[in-house]
Amino acid sequence: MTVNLSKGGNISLEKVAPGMVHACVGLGWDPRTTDGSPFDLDASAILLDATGKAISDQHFVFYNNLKDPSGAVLHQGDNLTGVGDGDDETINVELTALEPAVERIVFLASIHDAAGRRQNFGQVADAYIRVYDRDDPTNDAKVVRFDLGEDASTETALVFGELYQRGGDWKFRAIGQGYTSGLAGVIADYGLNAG
Amino acid sequence: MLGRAASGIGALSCRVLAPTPADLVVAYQARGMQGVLTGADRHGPDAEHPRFWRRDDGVHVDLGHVDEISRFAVVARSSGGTLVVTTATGARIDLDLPDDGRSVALTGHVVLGCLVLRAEGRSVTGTLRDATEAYGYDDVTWASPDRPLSPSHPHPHEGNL
Repeated sequence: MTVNLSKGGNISLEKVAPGMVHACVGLGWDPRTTDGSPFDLDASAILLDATGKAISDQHFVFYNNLKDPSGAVLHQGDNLTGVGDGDDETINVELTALEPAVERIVFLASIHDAAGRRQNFGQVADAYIRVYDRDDPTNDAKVVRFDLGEDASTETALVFGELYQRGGDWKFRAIGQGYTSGLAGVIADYGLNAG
Repeated sequence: MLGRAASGIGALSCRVLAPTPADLVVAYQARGMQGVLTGADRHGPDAEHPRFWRRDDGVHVDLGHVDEISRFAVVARSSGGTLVVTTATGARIDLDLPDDGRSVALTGHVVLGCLVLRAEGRSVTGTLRDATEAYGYDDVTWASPDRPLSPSHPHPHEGNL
């Protein structure tokens, strides 16, 4: 049975899926029907060091940089519409292949051209993040999930959750932190010099 | 050269600060096709999936789909002033424009996901067609030497290539 977390909750992946090596992080959402421009949401991951900052520009994994330098974190590509069931975008993490400097990986979604299209997460429903074992993907008992609910309003980017190391184990934490400054604001917050 | 993050987030915005009105035109190659966005156009290559567009404050390049863009050139017609180029992540370039006439002010090329910007500052004579062809945009259809036709091209995600 899937483990459901509430905002701020955390759990050890070793408890959810003992021995998990290949973690899949799936993010999903459903844009509400509007008569305006189509929604284009994008998932990203930022690999952080012990200080909570991005290790480098190359450790920001998104649609224009589909993997980190080690290849352990791999973005599966951009879904332009969010239409359809299941995860909209997936990021694979090979836990044992991560660089030693990686202490945390935050996962987020952002709305492309949110300002120009006058869109925000208040117009997005059923957002969630789930982590499951890629070597046993249909086993619901090995899934941890966080449903973000309907709290968002004017935010144009949302940090859904994070994987982090604690005592040698990888854990998952549900976050649900919104940003009104879009993807640029999030990456600046994590110390990326993207200018 | 911008990093992959700056090359892939938001939009690259180009606007002119000048005492008299100026005009910006963008010649581009995107999705394997060429076009020219003039003052008569709002979007390029098309309105449904624009990668280049015009608003009152200038012209913009959609970096969220930078993988579809090969290169572009910004052509200005002004009486002096400055071309101000900004990214969503806060980078800014200021380029002086010549006192009179048309110039190819800036070119951009996408290399391995990174946007390489080059200040050209080259005054050009002749027609808009002459100016853009001098930079290799020679696969554009023209109604007249200063009036390009909007390209029509299916979006790759529609599977009609």
